[in-house]
Amino acid sequence: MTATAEAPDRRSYFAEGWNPAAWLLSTDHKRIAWLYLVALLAFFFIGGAAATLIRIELATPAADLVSDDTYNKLFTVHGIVMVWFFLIPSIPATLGNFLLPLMLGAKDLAFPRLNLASWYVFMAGSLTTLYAVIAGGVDTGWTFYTPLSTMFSNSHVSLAAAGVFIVGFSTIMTGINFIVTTHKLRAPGQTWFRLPIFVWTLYATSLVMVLATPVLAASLLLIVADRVFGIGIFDPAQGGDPLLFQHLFWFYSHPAVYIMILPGMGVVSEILPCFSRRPLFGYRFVAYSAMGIALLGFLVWGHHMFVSGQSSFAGVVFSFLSFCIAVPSAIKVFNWTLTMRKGSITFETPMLYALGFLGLFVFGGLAGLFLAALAVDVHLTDTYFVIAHFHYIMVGGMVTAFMAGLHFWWPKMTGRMYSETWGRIAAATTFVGFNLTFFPQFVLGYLGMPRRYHTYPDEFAVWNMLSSAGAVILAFGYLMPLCYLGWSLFRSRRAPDNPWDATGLEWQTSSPPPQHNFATQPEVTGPPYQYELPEIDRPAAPR
Amino acid sequence: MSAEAQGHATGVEPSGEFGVFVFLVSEGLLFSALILGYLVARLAPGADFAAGSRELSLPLGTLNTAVLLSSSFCIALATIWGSERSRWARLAALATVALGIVFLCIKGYEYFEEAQKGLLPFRDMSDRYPKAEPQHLRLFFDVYLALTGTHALHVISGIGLVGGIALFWRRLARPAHTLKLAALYWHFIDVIWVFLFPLLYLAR
Ligand code: HEM
Ligand SMILES: [Cu+2]
Repeated sequence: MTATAEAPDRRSYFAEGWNPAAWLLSTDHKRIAWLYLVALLAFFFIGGAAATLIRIELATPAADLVSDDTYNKLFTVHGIVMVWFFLIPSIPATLGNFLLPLMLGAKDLAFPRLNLASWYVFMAGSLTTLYAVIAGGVDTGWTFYTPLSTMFSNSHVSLAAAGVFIVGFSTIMTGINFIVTTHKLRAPGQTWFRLPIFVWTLYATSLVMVLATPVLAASLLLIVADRVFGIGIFDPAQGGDPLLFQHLFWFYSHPAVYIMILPGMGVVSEILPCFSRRPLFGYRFVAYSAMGIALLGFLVWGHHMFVSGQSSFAGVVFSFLSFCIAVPSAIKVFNWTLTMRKGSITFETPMLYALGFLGLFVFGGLAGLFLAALAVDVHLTDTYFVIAHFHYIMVGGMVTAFMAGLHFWWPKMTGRMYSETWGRIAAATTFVGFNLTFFPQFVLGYLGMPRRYHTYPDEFAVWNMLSSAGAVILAFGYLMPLCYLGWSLFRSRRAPDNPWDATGLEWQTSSPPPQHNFATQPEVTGPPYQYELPEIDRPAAPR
Repeated sequence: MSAEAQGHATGVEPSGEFGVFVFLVSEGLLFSALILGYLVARLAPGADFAAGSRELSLPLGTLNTAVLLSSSFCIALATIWGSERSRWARLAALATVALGIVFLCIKGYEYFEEAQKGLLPFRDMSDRYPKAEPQHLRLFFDVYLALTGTHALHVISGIGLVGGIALFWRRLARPAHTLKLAALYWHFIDVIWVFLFPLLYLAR
């Protein structure tokens, strides 16, 4: 923090230099966002590579590519990498990191050095796990269930769990930073109910990060303690309770699925009003429902354990609560839909992705209600229905929202416009590819195909082939942005400060923003999303 | 400060404290999860679990509680003196560190004794306790090790933190403030022990 108030420095944050130290040691939240973005993309493609191998193996009923053992390791890497090294940090650590101070009108996060440290901790942890994978792999699934993970698995469980444990610290650091920043660094006039919904969802996400991650830490710690020292709290032979692990794990992991969707909800809450030229419908409801999801999310973990042998009373209660948690999500969906009603809608790339999110999220969420129904879940649990459910929400929802946000704020982050044509093609391709990949899995699950096997009976062949074919399209959908977004960095039109004619403090500064974000301290005088329909009802956004 | 008039990204002082409190809530959940493990084991039917606590040394545990409470007293003094810019602040911080080390030594001695009696779960206990369910005794020591071990790791980081501040006092921009933040953490460690002590030693 060296800039003086008298002479505001208007040079972009890129002007601070390009040598490695200027990036790796910078405490500027905008640069750290890029560090995370690069690392997370790498992990996304590592996880994607594992998924590719899985889908190739499953293209035919027979085991033709990998052994059962290798297959177990493949879906484990895929799950661990995608959940902890991509989805959990995805939007918060990249877009959130970049935008939170901008949206609040602050110069940086509350703890810039903690922010940088969180990236290093993240790298240390994720590389530890990656080493465990290279050194021979882990075969427990991302859920690390005991007693498989403690007593029977001969793979590198301890090392992989230790890596996830370390990454947990970085999650907590980010959470603390975001919470404190939101409380303490709001610009004059930026009251709680003038905050963009993206900030609300980041806040709710951070609460979950801070409250849930330590419980995961405890359960992973106990697994490592069991494997290394023989401290058998989960070991029935010593009187321990293996089910306790599932309780602890899902006490973290169900809230964690909301870490993986809330920021996505925030992103589309920014985009839909902008490209409909309408204020967000029911702002307070959308804000409160984010908090509602964060709190209720802690009360439903038992729906992952309906067949685990927990008491049937517990099963009924968890089933009921799981239905309840669909309510705040549904409130959001209604509000998004009503936002677009009578709007002047244009279909730029971010909007296409956001609409894709809406459809896929609703579909995945409704599938969640099937699973929340106790009796139905007994049939569907551990089948491809569950796989399809959470991929619709996590990939169809969150990854799509991530792409939406990336396209929406790319001009702000880089100062460059990307090719709109290619953007739309990619958005459409992912939507088609995604549905082709995962819709067949609903059918497969309904027909009874269990998850986590590398072979299957012949009658499942057609649906699996469709799914694998869809995965190819999906892969193109994800590779395309890598190319045209990368290309846009060097060879593309410069972005104006506010290319979408959007509201929000982040659009009031230059693109890309100067090092301290705003030349002068911004003030907020009104509610967010003050969009107005254009006088003549034709697309208002500049092309 | 009112919610309306904030900003300028300068609020380091209140931010730091608030940040530490949020962190401590997070830490609290870590211990809650472990204590849940304790409760599950204790309430399991037919457990000889409580027999484990009868094997612990109550005098040493009590002594350790006293040591840790005094250390909290020391660091409270250190923060007060720090805010008064008194030179005693550093000394009190060092006393805190010393008491922390005494705590660890006593804890280490307890572990040593228990290992001598063959109680720690690193080897089979069935020859020593040929009773019906030696595994419940063992489970107690599993839980005991997990809880006190995690706590001890926190004491160690607390010692590093407070010791570091005391040593580099002159080089810190605002040593008294930093010490205050560390003190919050230290008190937290103390509070956790105040829960662990009755659970493990007193509920026999
Ligand atoms: C409408 C709200 C939701 C409901 C009612 C719901 C319900 C369920 C239920 C009952 C299961 C357990 C199925 C089984 O194992 O038999 C489940 C699994 C799962 N859900 Fe959801 N869900 C909802 C939203 C979400 C969201 C938002 C996400 C992620 C962003 C998500 C991710 C997952 C994952 C990852 C699993 C499977 C974990 C595993 O076994 O590996 N769900 N869901
Ligand atoms: Cu769940």
